[in-house]
Amino acid sequence: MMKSNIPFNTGDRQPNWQEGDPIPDFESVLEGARAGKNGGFRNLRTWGLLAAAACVGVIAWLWPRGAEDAVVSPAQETAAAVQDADFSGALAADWQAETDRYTLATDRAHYILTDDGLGVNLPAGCFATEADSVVFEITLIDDAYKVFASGLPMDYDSAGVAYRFMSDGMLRVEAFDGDAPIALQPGVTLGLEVPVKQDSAAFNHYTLLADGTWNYEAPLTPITYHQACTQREHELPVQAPASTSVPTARYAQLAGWEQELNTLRGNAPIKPYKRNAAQDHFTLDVLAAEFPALTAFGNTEFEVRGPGFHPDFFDQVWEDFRIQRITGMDRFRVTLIGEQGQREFNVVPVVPAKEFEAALTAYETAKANHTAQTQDLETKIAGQQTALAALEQQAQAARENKGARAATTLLSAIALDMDPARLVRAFEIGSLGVCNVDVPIEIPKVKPVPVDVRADYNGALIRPAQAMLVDAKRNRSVALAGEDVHQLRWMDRWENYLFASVDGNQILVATPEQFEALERKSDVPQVLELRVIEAPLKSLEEVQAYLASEVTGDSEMLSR
Amino acid sequence: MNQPAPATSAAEDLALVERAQQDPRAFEPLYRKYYGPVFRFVFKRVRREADAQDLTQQVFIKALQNLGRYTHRGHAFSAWLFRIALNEITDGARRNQKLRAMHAGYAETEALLEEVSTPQATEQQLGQALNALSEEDRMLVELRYFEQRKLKDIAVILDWSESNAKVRMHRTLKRLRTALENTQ
Repeated sequence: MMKSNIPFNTGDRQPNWQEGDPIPDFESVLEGARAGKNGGFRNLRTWGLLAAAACVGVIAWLWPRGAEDAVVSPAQETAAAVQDADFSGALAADWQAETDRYTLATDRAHYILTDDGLGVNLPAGCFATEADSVVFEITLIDDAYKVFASGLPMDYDSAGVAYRFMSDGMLRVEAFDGDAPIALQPGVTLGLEVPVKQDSAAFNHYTLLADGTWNYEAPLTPITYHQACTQREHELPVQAPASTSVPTARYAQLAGWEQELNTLRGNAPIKPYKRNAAQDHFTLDVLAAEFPALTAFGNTEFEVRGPGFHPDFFDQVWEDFRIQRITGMDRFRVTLIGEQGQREFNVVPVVPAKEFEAALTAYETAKANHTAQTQDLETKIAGQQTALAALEQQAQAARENKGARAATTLLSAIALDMDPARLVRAFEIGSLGVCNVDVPIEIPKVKPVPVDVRADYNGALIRPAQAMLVDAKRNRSVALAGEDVHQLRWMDRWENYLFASVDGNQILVATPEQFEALERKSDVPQVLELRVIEAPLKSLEEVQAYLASEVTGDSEMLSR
Repeated sequence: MNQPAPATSAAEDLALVERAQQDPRAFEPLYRKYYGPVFRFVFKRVRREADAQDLTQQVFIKALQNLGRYTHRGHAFSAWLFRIALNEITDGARRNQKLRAMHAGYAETEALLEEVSTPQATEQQLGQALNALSEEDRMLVELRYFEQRKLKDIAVILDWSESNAKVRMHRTLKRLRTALENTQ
C-alpha cells in the first residue's frame, strides 16, 4: 500500500451526475470486458485535462421533510407548545441587522464600500427606473445572531437531500424610489465583494427565490480585494476616488511604537555591581517607575566613580539634586544644587556582597523580559513599516493609473484602512433581493439524545416546536423542527446555543454551559431549560451582550 | 446512456449474478442498480468527476471479467464491487498520485474529531493526521467514519476478518488521537 500526501477536503461536494441521470450504456462495459484489462479507457495521464467536478452537498443525512410544521407532543400534560416559534418570519424590526442606505444618482456608476468591508459595484443606468435617484439599501447578515434574528430560511434542498446552511455572510440588497421597490435593468449585473470570515473554498453563492427556497448559483473561491478590484477593471467606468492617501492612523501607530521602543531601550536593566568599601557611597530615594532600570536593586545605594566628588559634600546643605542615566552606560550622572553652586560626578548603583547573587538573578530576569519586549516592538514596527511601504507603493501605482476603475476602488479601500490583501468573495447578481455565501451542512451525525427542551414562560410551561442550534464559533446554524428539537444532536466541539422565540420578540436560549451539563450517552430523557431573555432587548448587540453575560456570569442581564 | 434499474433484493442480486456467470448480458440490471453507489463511492476518493466516471466503468468491466470467480459468502454483492473499486483507485493512484483525494462532509468530519480529539483540533490538522496514516488505515477511516459503514461490511470490502478490522480501527483511532494531540 502506498503512503502519500492526499488532499483532504471537508464541506459539501457533489458530482454533476446525480441519481436518476442517465448512466453509460451497458454495451460499453460488455465491450470493455471482452477487450481486456485496459480496453476502452482513457489513459490516466490525460485525466488531469478533464473537467472538474461541481461543488455542492455530498452527505446523505435525510431530513424529514414537512417536519417544520410539526408540533412536539409534550411529555407532561400541563405543558403547552409555543405558538410563535416560527423561523419563517423575522423577529421584531429592532432586532434586525443594521441596514446601510445610500441615495444614488441613477445615471452614474457608483462604488460603495461599507464599514464592514462589503464592496458593491453599480454600473450607470443599472436600475429599471425613470427616476433621477434611488435609495439603495444593503444589509449584511454576517453572524449567527443576525441570521437568527433575520428569520431567513437556513435549509437547502439539493436533489432531494435536505441540508442546513453554514453562513459566511447573507446579504439583502434592495433599491427604492420612495416606497416603490426598484429592480435592475434586464441583463445588468451588480458586482459584490463580500468579506471572508471563514477562508474556505467550500462556500457557494445562493439566491433566495420568491418561494422561500435557495437557488445554487456558483462556487466561490476567496480572492484578495486587490484581485477583485482588478477583475472588474474592464467592466466599469471611471469614478473619482474618495481619497488618495494611506491612512495617517497607521503612521501614528508606528510613531507610537517607535517612541515606546526608544523609552524601553533607555531603560535597559542595569547589571549590579558589588559594593566596594574603599569608595564613597550614599543612598537616594529613587522611584522605581522613574528608573525601571534599577529593578534589580533594593534600597539603591550609589557608589562614586571617577572625578568630581569630594567627601565634604556629605557635610554641606544641598537644596536639590538631579540624577540622570548616562546614555548606553550603567552609570548615572548626579548633579547637586545649592547656594555654593552645582557639583557633578558619576555614580553606579551597587549592592552589598551578600545580596549580590540575588540581585544578579533579578537582573537576569529583568533583562530577559526587557529583551522580549524590545523584540516584540521591533517585530511590530518592522511589520508596520513593510505594510505601509506596500500600501504606499500600491497607492502610488493607483494614483499614476487614476483613470482606471480598479485603481480608484483600491485607493478608496486604502484610504479607509482596508487592507488590499484581505480576502473577499467576488460575485455578480442579476437581480436585487437576498443572496448568501453559504455551505450546506447537516445536523451533527452523532447519537440523538432525548432532551425535554422547555421554558417557563409567564408561568406556563412551554416547549418549542422549532428551534435553532447555533455554533457561535463558526456561524453554523441548524434549524430544528419537530422531534429533532427534543432528540438533540450536538457537537461538544461547538459553542452550542439553542434559540427559540415566542411572541415575536422574546428569545428563549440555552447556553454552552447547559449543553456541557447534559449527559451525552444517556437514554433517559433530560431537561434543557430554555431561559427567557429579559425584555426588552432592543438590538442584536444587546442579545450578544446578554449571551456574553451568560458566559462571564454577569447576572445583570440574565433571565427572569 | 440509459436509466438506472429499480432496486433488487439481495436474493435477486445473487440470482442475477449466477445468471450473469453464464451469460454476461444478465449482468445489466446489476450494473444499472449499482452504477450510482459505485460512482459515488469512487467520486469521494478521486478529485475529478471524469476520473470517477472512468474508474466506475472500469470497476464494472473488472467485475464482469472476474464474475466467474465470485462466490457468495453471505455478504452483499455491493461489498465485492466496492472492494474492486478500492483496488482500482489504489492502482490508479499508484500511476497518478494526483488522482487520489479524501473527502468528507462537515458532519462526518465533526463526528470523527469528536471521537478522537480535543475541541481545539481543526479540519486541517485532521487532514495532516490522516495523511500520516497508511493508505489501508486511511481507507478504514473513510469507510467507517466518512461513509458510516458497519465493521462487518468494511471487513468484506478490505478483505479482512471482522476482528482484524475491529483491532485495526482501534489502533488507527489511537494513532489519530496521538497525532492530533501532538499538534495542539
